[in-house]
Amino acid sequence: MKTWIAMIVFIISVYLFVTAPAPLQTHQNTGPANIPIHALFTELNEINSKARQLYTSKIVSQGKKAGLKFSEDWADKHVQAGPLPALFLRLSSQSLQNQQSELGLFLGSDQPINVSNFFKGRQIKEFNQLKESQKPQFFAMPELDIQLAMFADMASAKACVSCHNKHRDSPKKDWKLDDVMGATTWTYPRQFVSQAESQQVIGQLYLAIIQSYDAFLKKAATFEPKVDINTAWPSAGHLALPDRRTFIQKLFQATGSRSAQFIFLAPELLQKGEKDAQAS
Amino acid sequence: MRATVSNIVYETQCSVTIVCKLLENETPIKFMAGQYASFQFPTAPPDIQQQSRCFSFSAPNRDPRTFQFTVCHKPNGLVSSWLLESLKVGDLVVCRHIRGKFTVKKQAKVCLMLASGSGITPIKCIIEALLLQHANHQIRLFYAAKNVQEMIFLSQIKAWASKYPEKLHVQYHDYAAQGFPTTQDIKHFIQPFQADQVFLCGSEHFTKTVQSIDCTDITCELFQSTPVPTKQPDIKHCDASIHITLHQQQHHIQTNNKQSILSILKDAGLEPHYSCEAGFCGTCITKLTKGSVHAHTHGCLSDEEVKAGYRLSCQCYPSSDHITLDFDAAQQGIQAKTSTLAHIQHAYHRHQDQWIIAIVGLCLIAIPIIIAWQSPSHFHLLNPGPMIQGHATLACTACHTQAPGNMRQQIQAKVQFLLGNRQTDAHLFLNTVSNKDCLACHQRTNDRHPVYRFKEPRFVDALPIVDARYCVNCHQEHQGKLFTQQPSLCIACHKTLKIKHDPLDIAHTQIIAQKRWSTCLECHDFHGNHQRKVQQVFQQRYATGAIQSYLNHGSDPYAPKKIVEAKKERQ
Repeated sequence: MKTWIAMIVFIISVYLFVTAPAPLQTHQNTGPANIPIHALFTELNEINSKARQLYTSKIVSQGKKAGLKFSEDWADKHVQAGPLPALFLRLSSQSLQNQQSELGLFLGSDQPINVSNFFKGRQIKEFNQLKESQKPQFFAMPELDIQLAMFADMASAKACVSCHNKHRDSPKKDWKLDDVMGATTWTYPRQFVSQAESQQVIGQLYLAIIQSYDAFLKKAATFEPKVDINTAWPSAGHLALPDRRTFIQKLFQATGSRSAQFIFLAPELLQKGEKDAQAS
Repeated sequence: MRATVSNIVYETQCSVTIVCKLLENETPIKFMAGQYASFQFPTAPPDIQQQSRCFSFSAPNRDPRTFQFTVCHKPNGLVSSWLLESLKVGDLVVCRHIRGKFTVKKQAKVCLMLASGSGITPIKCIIEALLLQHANHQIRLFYAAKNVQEMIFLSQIKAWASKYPEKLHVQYHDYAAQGFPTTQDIKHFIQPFQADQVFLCGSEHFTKTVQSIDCTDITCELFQSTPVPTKQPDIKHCDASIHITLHQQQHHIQTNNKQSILSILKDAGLEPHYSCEAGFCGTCITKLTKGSVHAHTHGCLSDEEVKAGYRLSCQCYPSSDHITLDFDAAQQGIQAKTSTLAHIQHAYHRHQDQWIIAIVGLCLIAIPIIIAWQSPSHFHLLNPGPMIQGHATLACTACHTQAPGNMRQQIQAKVQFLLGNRQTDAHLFLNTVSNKDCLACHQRTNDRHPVYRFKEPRFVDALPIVDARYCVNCHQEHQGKLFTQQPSLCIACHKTLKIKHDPLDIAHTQIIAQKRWSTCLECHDFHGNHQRKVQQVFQQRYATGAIQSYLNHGSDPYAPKKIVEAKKERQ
């Protein structure tokens, strides 16, 4: 009996291993992982900050002067408004999920308008240190198996300050420009990444920002009076919004040399985004 | 184990908790919450010394040198009367035969507990053990008693319910004020919840009331006092030659006694194990290997045990000339039954042919797996259970995408991963169903609780209660249910509700403080995809039963239309 079992095991082992075809590739054969994650986080945050600054100052601030509205309930089909800057970031988070990215992007504060954005636990400790040191915080949470970074979210535009000070649910009504209003939290599962992986993640963020803008444009196309979606930017007396190409060009311009390596990806990003926008 | 009474706590007028400390040379005591033991009291008067009684432990096994049990006075109870009236600190107690299956199963996270009277004792012990372990159990307790004064451990249970409202919810039922609990009362308590395990302990009337409801898998314990001797069963045959194996010795008794086997043995000066003498505890179990006995009742024995020849000696009477009983084999049989490994090893050594049967069985199981592995059109062979409504018409591959590589590559990669030679794990045959698979059809921008949000570190404390980072943790497929978590899971993140401009007519904080709700789903749709407005009048909330029914694929109380419909095909 034992002999028979041993023979069967031997035959199966030969079939499975000795005569097996080429081994299955891992999805992480992207080169040596020698870029520390904090470097990638810093890069990502720069891009995101510039994108939000672009959106807040050029779209939200100017858009309000042109007659556009921006609201928390913008997604409601009866509400003729676009997303607020914080919600624009939420859209980017959602888009990262849609892309199955391992990158996490979150926004929070110790004085949020919405209590669901209130920092808790480790985040509140790191946020307090961030406010004190004025430096980004990089740390790990082994219980979640992730690496994290928290960057200060500054009141970089007048619109940030005025809106938060006027909001009835805001716990703080005396925000000023350059105040640390909250923090952007980034998460990623690995401590080191390869060059290729780093480029892939940055590309995912760019795409997420563009898709967030696409979502806004889709909503804006239903506004009354009609918004002129073309190459112009909104301003007082001019109810207009830049189309996605114009927005992407400005985005790349705003993010400077960081986006240089992605300029060549731009056609692909544009095509992909347009296909996704049409499909939805 | 011998111990001395170190404290006596009068819980109510009719019940007392006896705290004992083991004597110096005794081995530490070990038991599970919910178990009971057989107790004797050597310092009691002679007529009580000979008696042994089963009592449940009333506190978990925190200190291995102490234990406590609670005794409730029974009308005309010989031992219980003495314990309540005359037991003193310093008296000797002998604890034997710790047993019982009235314990929490490892996988049970939601426990429904129904107790009446002194039946609260093992249940209180279980609750205390779970709360002490800081386990993430949800416990719902229905506690009935004649009146509030006779509710044992009432203040303690109330204190726990107040301290752990998210873990323990208690409904009290006072016979004097509300009458005896009816099946309606019990149904109303049971039905909103999907319990992993249901515990029932109490009087015969109470347990019968509960068991008359269609509620399967109840872990039940029923204690009765030793019955006052009634008319003997009509035993015609009484001349018997009984051959006994007890404590590794052979005994022979010739009897013409019309008493039970246990009584015959005791009269003959033998010392078999016994306790309740009413057929409930199983301590006096024996194995009938020759002859026949008349069993007044098989009591706590299962059908399998009766078929295997096991009998309760306190309930059996001789009914043939020659009878052979093996008490040692019965005790060993009970121990071996609980050790699966010992059973397998035992079977292997004695029945090698069974290995051939096992290998053939494995091959039969492997064949459909291999067939399905080679061809997706055969995946249905592996369907383990009913589908969520709306998924029944989907092909298996709509959710279960094929893992990359062929069978040999997958096995090879898996083995390499297990040996540490490969960084990432490989999936055999099919990929694990992930959020990507669910969102391929159910992606919505209006989702109020999108899964990615729960990956934020602020939710780390909520994850042990509900890991909402993965769709399948709440919507486990092949269970035939829309939702496989507890409806009260909102509390994991929304424990303290401070709403600045509360739109509800009664403040949320007030409703929570008054425990007038059981789930936020009574008003709120979790994903926010129903075309509706949230109620602003508390009275208009949906009934808990309606919510529970919907989560089990009943009719949708929220709204007939969705804002974003799921895609019919995977995108």
